[in-house]
Amino acid sequence: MNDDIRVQRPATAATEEPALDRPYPGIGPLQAVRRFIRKAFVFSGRASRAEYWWVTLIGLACVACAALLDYMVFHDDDSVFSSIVSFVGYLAIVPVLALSVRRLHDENLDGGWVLVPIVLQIAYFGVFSAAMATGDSHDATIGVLIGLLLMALFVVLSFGLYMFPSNPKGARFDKPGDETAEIGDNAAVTADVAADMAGMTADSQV
Amino acid sequence: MSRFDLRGLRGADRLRRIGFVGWLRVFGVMLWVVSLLATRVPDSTAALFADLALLAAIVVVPRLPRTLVPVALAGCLAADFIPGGATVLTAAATAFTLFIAVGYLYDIAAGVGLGCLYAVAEVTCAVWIGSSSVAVNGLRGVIAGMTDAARRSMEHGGIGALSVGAPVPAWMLWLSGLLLSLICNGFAIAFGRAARSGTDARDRAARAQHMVDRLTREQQLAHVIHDSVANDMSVIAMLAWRAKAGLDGNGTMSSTDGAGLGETLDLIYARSHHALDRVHEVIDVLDGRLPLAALEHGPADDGPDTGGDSDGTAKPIRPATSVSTATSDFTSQLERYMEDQDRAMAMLGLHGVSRVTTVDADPEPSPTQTVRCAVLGLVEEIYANIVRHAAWNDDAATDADPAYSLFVTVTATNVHVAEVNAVADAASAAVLGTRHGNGLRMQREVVASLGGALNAAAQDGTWTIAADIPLA
Repeated sequence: MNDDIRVQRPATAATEEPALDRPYPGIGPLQAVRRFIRKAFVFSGRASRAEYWWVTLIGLACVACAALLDYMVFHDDDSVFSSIVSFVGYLAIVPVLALSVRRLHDENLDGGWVLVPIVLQIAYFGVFSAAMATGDSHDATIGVLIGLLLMALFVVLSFGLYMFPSNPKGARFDKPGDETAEIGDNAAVTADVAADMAGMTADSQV
Repeated sequence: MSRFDLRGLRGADRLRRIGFVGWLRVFGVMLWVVSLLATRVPDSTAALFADLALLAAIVVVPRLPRTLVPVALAGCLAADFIPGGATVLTAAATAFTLFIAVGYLYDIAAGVGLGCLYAVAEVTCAVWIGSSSVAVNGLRGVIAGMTDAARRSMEHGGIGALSVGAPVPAWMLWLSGLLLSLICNGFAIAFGRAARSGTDARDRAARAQHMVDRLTREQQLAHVIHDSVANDMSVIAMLAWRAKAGLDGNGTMSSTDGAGLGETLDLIYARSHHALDRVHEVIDVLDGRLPLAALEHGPADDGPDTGGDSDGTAKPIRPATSVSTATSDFTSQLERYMEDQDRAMAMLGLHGVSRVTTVDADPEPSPTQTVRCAVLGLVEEIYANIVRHAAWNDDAATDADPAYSLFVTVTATNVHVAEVNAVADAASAAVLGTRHGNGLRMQREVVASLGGALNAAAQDGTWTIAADIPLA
């Protein structure tokens, strides 16, 4: 099959796994987790949608399983499994932040956007607490409404910020020295072939 | 919408062709079912009909999205007016699905416009006209719940701030309901938008791939055309020129009698026939009557096929005896081809030396079909270049300096091709008017694609070409 293709193509084009500092579209769940661990403290480079959402999905599944186990074993009396999962979750805060930043880079957004959901979360916690603490019922109602809106915004943004597809311009967040970024291997090959064709027709004799 | 034309497809193909809007339809129906279960079975005929109409909207809208989406959104708004709020959840589910479709199908301005319009209408109707709305009802419910909680905690001696039944001003409810609705609609639209740009990127990549495939094919065809015709035509031109020189009587050919001329004409006939056959093959490929792979044989494969070994890549594991057969096939094929070429060269008056040697190739590796093609194509190109550019030595005896020396060395890992010849003065070149072709450049690309290297240089009247092609 591949004998048909004589165009020189980088060996890593489609068959092999992209380098560790490249986004890996269509990554599988296990590979995604492996990358997540190997790049736990890497805040540069990019992460594909699959990379981000597999890890998130697996994390949520762990939380759900722990809650279910707790319910089945302890019947709401204790929450050993949930505690374990939240402990692991606290350990994973920095890796998750790193992954989120890389995902934002992949969308060609600055990593600072990762703070927006965090700020919103703190804000609605604060607003709710203030609403409960205030003595004035009118103020409390306003506080609850604002808190609800902030919470909705938080929920929407913590999902929505990470759902946009890859933007090749995000290569600007790669570590310097990687100028050979694959702004579309296809495009590069196309350009090469087109140039070859142009040259061929220009001096096509014999 | 050819994307939804699923007739004749089955199984996985169907799933792949459904596309985003198809999946959205599935998602919408599921959301509708969940909403229906979360409320209750519709208790009035109106509610039942409204629910079914909303379901129909979810199912039908992807068929004619641009005209139906606004109509269906108006329908969702109307369903909010069913008394008792029986359809409020299904209407919200439908609206959410529709807004994802809006984000997917419309441009940003139209999507944002529709989202804002719907939010304002929905919340205004809910607050002041008496319809239901998930945003407004939800906010009311949460405030009531918190009030209840506060009351209970006060009853238990805790500190609760919200007094029982604290009235929420209508404008405040309207504003927060509007914002909530905007957040939800905006999220749905952004989600559709994200899916759309992903689809667009995939389409672009597919188009680019298609273009690369086409250009690759065209390039391969150019290779094949060049490989087929260049050498034959050069030899024919040379032979014709020599024959004419012989007829004129001022030529340098040693045998100008009829026998020699006949031999030359025979060779011209054979060569032109060969070239014609190859051209016909190329035309067959261009017409689609023949797969391109059928032309990917080496130039010496024209004879009877030497058995099933020609596709070395197809069977990576083969018994040792078969391996050595494959390689010796390759070297003998190469030797046979080079002998033929040497004979033609000698007839042209170019007496040269060529040799194929096998070094350290034990156990002998089996070169893939691609490598065979590359080596044979390169050798053919070298001969064509010799015809066109080499200096003549036919008045010298054969034991004098050879007109060219071509050595092919096959090792366990590489094929090494080296050729040296003296370059003729431009004035004495017989094939006049042919510009420098691009055959060598194409050969270099082929060699490079196999991970090898090709170097050629003309220095002090000597042309040297050396190529190194890895076998694996």
